[in-house]
Amino acid sequence: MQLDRRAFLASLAGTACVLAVPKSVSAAFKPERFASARMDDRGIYSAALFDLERGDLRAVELPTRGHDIALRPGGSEWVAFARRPGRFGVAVPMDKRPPVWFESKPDRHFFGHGVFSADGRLLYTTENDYDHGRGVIGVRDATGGYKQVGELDGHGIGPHDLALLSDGRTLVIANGGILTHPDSYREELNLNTMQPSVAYADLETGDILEEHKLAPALHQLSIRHLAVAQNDTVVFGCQYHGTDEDMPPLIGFHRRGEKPVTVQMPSTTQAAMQNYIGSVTADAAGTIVAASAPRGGLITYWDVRARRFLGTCGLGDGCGLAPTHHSASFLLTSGEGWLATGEVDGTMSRQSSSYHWDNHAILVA
Amino acid sequence: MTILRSLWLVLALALIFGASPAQAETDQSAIAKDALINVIRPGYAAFADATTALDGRVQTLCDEPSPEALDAAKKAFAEAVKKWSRVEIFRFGPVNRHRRYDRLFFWPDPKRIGLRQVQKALADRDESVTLADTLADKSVALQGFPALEYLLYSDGAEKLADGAPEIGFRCSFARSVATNIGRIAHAVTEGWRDGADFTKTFLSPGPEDPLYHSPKDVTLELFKAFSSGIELVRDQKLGKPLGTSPETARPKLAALWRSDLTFPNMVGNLEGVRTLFDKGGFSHVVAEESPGVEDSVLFDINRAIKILSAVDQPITEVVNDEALRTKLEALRVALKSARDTGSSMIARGAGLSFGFNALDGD
Repeated sequence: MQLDRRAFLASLAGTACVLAVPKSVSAAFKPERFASARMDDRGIYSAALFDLERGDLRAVELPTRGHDIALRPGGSEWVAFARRPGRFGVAVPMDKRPPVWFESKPDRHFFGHGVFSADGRLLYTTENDYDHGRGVIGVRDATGGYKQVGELDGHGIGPHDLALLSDGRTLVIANGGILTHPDSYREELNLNTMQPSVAYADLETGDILEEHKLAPALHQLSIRHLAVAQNDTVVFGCQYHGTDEDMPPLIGFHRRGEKPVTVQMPSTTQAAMQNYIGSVTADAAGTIVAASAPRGGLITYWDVRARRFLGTCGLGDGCGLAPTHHSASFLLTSGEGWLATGEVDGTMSRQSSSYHWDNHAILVA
Repeated sequence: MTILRSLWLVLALALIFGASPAQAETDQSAIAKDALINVIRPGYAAFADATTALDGRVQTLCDEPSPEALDAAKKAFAEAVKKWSRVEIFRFGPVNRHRRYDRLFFWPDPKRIGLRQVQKALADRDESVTLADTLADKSVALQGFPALEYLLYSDGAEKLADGAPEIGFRCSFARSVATNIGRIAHAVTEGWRDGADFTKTFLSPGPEDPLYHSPKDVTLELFKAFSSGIELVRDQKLGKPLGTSPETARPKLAALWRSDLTFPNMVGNLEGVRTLFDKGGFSHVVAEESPGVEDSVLFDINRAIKILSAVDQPITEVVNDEALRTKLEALRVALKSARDTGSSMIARGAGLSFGFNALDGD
């Protein structure tokens, strides 16, 4: 076959029409670079840095399925995490140096998410201390081969997504509340008693600063993903584990010192979401948040300040979301192979790719 | 909700783990071949022919301007758009190379970048847009149907019929766009011929091929054209301009509203979907999986085509017509049903795996 993959992806990306309006029409425009985990059609997992014009810029094969990616402040490298209950992480430099692999402790596994300290020195990862049924936050030294240097309390069961507030010192953690043990793989062991929370912890001491649980009737609403938007408003997305007839709100907003507010969607949208949010991301300005519902094949958009539902756009198995350089504009990725840019008004242009893009994507630069 | 979700789960699990008898028998290579010979090649050939005619009519308009010549150019434009609409649903292959897709059809354009660029080129009398060779290196938004539509239909276009000297630049611009469209259309057709690189991969993909590793990957690509083709019409072409009420409607988001080809464009898209389903091998897959369901999918698509074909007002008026809005909303529901039913049956019949994220549980 004469076409090499690179040429092909480049040609694919050429369609980028699609992608991104101002971008594809401006010769001077430097395309955004994104990173995401994915699977190819042979079932091989990888994580890649890519843009929509040229395709892959660097890809690293993963031993098993990946999940989220964290960007090290300063932009020197990005880190891909194993999907739970995986135990590997890999830091991939932006230059040609080889990737650095690291692992969870023998009695821990990763939940798939991590975040760097503001200075880029330390990496914090959500992990499962499964023999004790509690969540922890692993601390690793990014300047020393990602050797583990500490561990903080996760202040809940099943910590999943986490992020840093603008003070650089406060960690916000989405505690899904669901107990799992690798011996029973991903089986959920405590659905009747689960108690998800949004917890704020001090990065340096590990102390809990604030913790919020939802109303008792919503205790089966697993708080799984979050994004920090403007003014440190935390927007969280949920997955419901109660009966299907219930239609609980799936998106909530919270600022420190206030009570969390969950917001219902219009009923037809709510029904279409299938009670499942896969990913939450704020746009470049932090004023709009996108939340994906892969089971419903929908991306939803939210006004952060007004705490209001704005609208949707359809994308089959769409899950990964990343901001672009433009406000109110997002990269949307799909398990069906689409890479798209979506605007908050619901318009979308997409291009086909040969990967099943995984749950999360990030903007690298 | 329970039943729906349970069905969905059962189906999804079946897609991932199950091997129904039908799937073992599905000849994936035959689907690719049928799609190529019965749908893709005839579709692009008709499109290329229509662009040749368009190029000629616009040339005539510039050489011998007259109201008749302008009318003929517009008719040729409409014809080329209709033929394009049928292949617009294919977002893979030669049309994906060298940014051909965007260059042909830069849409949606919610920020009206194309409009601004065309207006600027006209105001600046930018000579580089008047030659197809130099136009090809300009912004994609200047090169295709939306640009030509503006030149032939927007305010001032009627002067093209007079041949007044000051309109010469605009006509030359239109001519180079028409030529460019024709060149791209023929290049795509060429890219699908026997023995071309892409055709080889498409018909007989192997483990070392960069894009498709097995015939099933090609089936998946065609499946995506089917399901996203319906979504395109339902969500982007109809849903976004209609909004949820006349007050929230945004008719100028619609494709080709200036030339009033918005609805013919949607009809063409669905005709493309129908042909792909019916002649591209998918209806057989569905018929084997669940006899009769193929007819119900076709029924929904045909009905949508009929309703959209009957719309005789421009989209700017349609959005304020409550009775028509209701009808179109109902049509969007029917299209969703056709997409969901067709997609799940094709996926199951052809053994395609889905729900990479939906079933992930994270």
